[in-house]
Formats: sequence, C-alpha cells, structure tokens
Amino acid sequence: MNYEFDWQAILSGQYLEWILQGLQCSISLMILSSLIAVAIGVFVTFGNLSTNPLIHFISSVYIELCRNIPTLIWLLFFYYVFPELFPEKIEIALNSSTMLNYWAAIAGLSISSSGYISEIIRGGIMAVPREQIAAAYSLGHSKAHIWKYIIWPQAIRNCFPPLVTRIIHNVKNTSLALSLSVHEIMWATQQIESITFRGLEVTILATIFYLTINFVLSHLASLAEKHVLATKN
Amino acid sequence: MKKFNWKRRMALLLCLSVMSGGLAGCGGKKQESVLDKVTKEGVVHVGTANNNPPMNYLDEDGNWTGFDVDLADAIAEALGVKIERVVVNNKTRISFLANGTVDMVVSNLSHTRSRDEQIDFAEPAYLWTGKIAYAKKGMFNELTDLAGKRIAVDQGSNAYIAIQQAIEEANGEAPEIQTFQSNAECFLALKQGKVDAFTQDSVIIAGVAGKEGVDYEPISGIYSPGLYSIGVPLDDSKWRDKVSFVLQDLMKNGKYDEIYDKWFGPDGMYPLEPSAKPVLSKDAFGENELYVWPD
Repeated sequence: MNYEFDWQAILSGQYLEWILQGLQCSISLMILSSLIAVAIGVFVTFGNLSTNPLIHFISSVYIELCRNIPTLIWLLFFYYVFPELFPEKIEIALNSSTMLNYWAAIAGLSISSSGYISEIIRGGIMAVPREQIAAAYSLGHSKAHIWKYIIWPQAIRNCFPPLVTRIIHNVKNTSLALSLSVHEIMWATQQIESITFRGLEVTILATIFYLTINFVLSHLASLAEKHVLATKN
Repeated sequence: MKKFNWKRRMALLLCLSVMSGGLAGCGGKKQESVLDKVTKEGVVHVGTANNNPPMNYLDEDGNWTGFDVDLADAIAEALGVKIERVVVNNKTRISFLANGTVDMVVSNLSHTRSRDEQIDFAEPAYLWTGKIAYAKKGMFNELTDLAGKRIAVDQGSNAYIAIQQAIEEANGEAPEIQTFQSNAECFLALKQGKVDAFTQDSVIIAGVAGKEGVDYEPISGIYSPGLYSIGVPLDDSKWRDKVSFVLQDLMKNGKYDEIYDKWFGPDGMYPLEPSAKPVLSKDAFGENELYVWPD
C-alpha cells in the first residue's frame, strides 16, 4: 500500500469543529437512546410477564418486531414513513422540523434496542429461583417486598452483563444516524472525507472514538459489577 | 486482578501498534505505472457507482447500466483488457483512486480543483453538465431565494461546496445543507418537504426525478459547471495519457457518439441539450469539432 497520511488536513479549522460537534452529537445519541431503550425495555418486560393474555400478547408482538427488524429500517421508518401517517397539518409540521432526523434516530435506536433489553431483563427475572419466592410468600412477605428485596437485586445482577453488551451494541448502532443526515461523528468523518478525500485518516479517527467509548464503557461496567453489584456474603 | 488487566492493555497496545505499523511502513518505493500493471494483468479495475441514473444505475433486472457503464466498457475494449467493475459511491470514488483500489473512476465525476489535488483527470471531460437547484414549481425564482433555506445534497457531491459558494457570492444568508446517502433519498426528502430544494448535476436530477419531475422545476440555470471526467491516480502521467488518448480515439471514431446517442441523443433515453457534448463552438474550428487534441 502506497499511502501518505496527512492528519493536518482533517484536523484543522472547520473540520475540527465538525469532529467536535460530531462527538457531542454521538454521545448525546448514545446516552439518550440507551436510557429510553432501558426505560421502554423495563416497561415491556412487565407487559410480557403479565397474566393478562392481551397485554402479554401485545408485548410479545412488540418484542418480536423490535428484534426482527434491522435498526437501519427502524431509523428510515421514523424519518420517511412515520410523518406520513399523520393528518396533513401534523405531517407538514413534522417534515419541516429541523430536529426530525435527530429524534427519528433516537426513536429508531431506542425501539430497536428496547426489544432486546426487555428480553434480557425478563431472563434476569426468570432466573431467580421460584422456590425463593414461594418461601418468601410462606413467610408472609408482601408482593412489593418480594420484588424489592428478592427478585430485583438478583435480577439486576443476572442481567447486568448482557445489558452492558446490548448498550455497547447500541452505542455502535448510533453510527447509522449518518443515513438521516444527523451530524454525528460518522457523518462528520464522511463529510470531511468527501471534501478532503482523506478517507483512511477519518475512518481511523472514528474507529478510535468508538473503540475508546466502548472500552471505557465495558471497563466501567466490569468495575460496577465487581464493586457495586457483587454479592456481599 | 491487576495482572489480568495489565495483560489486556498490553495486548491492545500491541494490536494497535501492529495496525499502525502495517499502515505506515509502506510508503516511499517507486511505483510502476498503472498502465504496466493493467497490461500485465490484462484487467482494468474501474470504479463506478450504481445509484446516479442515467449515468450509472441498476436497471429493473438488476443489471449495472448507464452512460458511465457503457463508456467504461468501450474504454476497456479499446485498451484490449478485461473490465473489472468496482462499486464506488460519491464519497469513496476519490479515496479508492488514491489508495489504489481502482485504476480509474468513470462515475459522474466533475473535474474540480480540490479533487485535482488528490487525483488526476483524463482529458477531455466526456460530458458537459452542471449543478442546478431544483424545487417545487413556483416556490422560488432565483438562486438567492434559497438563502437560509434547507437544501438536500448527496454526500460526496461537490454541490455541497458549490451551492454555498453560489449563494454566498450573491450575498445571501448561508443555506442549511442536509446531506443524504443517495440522490434518490435527496429527491424523496424534497417530495416530503423535509428540504426546500435539491441540488445536483442537471442530468442526474432528470434521471432521479423521472416522471415525477413534472411537479418540480429548476431554479434559474446552471450555477456551477460539472465537467464529467475520468479520474485516474495522481502523478501517473503514462497512464493518464493512455486513458486520455483512448477516450479521444473513441470520440474520433464514432464509438462515443454511439453511446451518447443511446442515452442523451434526441431519440435517446434521456435527451439532453446539444451543449452537453464536449464540442467546440462552431466559430473555433468548424461545425461539430470534437474537443480532442490533434495528433
């Protein structure tokens, strides 16, 4: 390979500004979409565990839709199709909003992840031995008590590692927002490439960014697992 | 526990240094000309996109087609080598030339100064077109009306810079550019009202809009020339000359006209103004004199 690296070309003036804005936007996408995904995920888990057959059915369908449709399609759906589902006035308002692409990306990312997260949390809850719950009931504990002191602490410990994996996945997926012209880090690097043609440099830059974020994230998670969630016995 | 983490960190460091070493340690040696490589291997790698109708696109059966595709075929035939098509997009076409993935790019590539710093162009330009801004009928009259408006641009097109310059020169407020991943997405965004205008070379807008183009109109005329040229790697004069000569031979022997008429002639699939053909004005050397160098 005969290629001369030129870092100065991509790290000066306007380009540096784009990169910094891109970093900021990527991080906000990551945090917001992950939080919303966990919130929806917890909510849907309860629906899925519900004894009401209708609620159980709706949650199951939701989970299947989330898990079986690619994230990119969710993003494109919220950007191009979703506004068209509304009456004309709302449609025009949505389409002329400059934040539509950002929120479409958040919605797509959150929904896509929420299905997985819900299944992870359900797994965590199901893994709590039934005998413990039966024993707690027989000792006269209330339902709320049992959730608070027996199910949740163990469920969180059970689902923490796969949850972190899924969030790391979601962090990487934020790069798909590029396709909606959201000015995140991938957009910034691709835009710089299309003007300066320094494709390798900008791709290395984006790689280092994702690598760092996910490395830090997984380290923090393993620290949390060891020190905060560790069983104290 | 500490030891384990340390090991992991070392492994990562090693990975990174191997990667960067591998990338950095390969400059400096004298390159053979692409021409020698192509003749030796009997294959020319041509980068062409597939989402810019009518220059290059996939037809209903999924076959790669378009003016660029036919021209690339003719060039490979004239070079006497097999063609190996490499799919590029408007962002990767320059990088692919710079890093040697392709030997030439025939992909609606306008000759611009900033691109000329990274690659070279064969002469002459094979199609004369240009950037126009396109919007719903009756919305805007002049380019300056687009000041401060939302404009769709395909990411990788030099329209990104050209439209801002054009509006700036007319002392208009900077527009808000939204970049999409294909020209079709730009047009969809225009249809849905996500942007106020879409700008690209006139020939591609005609191809992308197709029959739906009736509700839309160009805002004034061409504001930046798009001289479609064949891109070749930087500083390889031997190869650049060869491609230029082959292209000019095709123009002289009528093969170029054949392809042109098929796509852009009066009876072609996308009839264009006669000015799209790289022909000198009749005052220069006579009627219909092609823009080629004499022997």
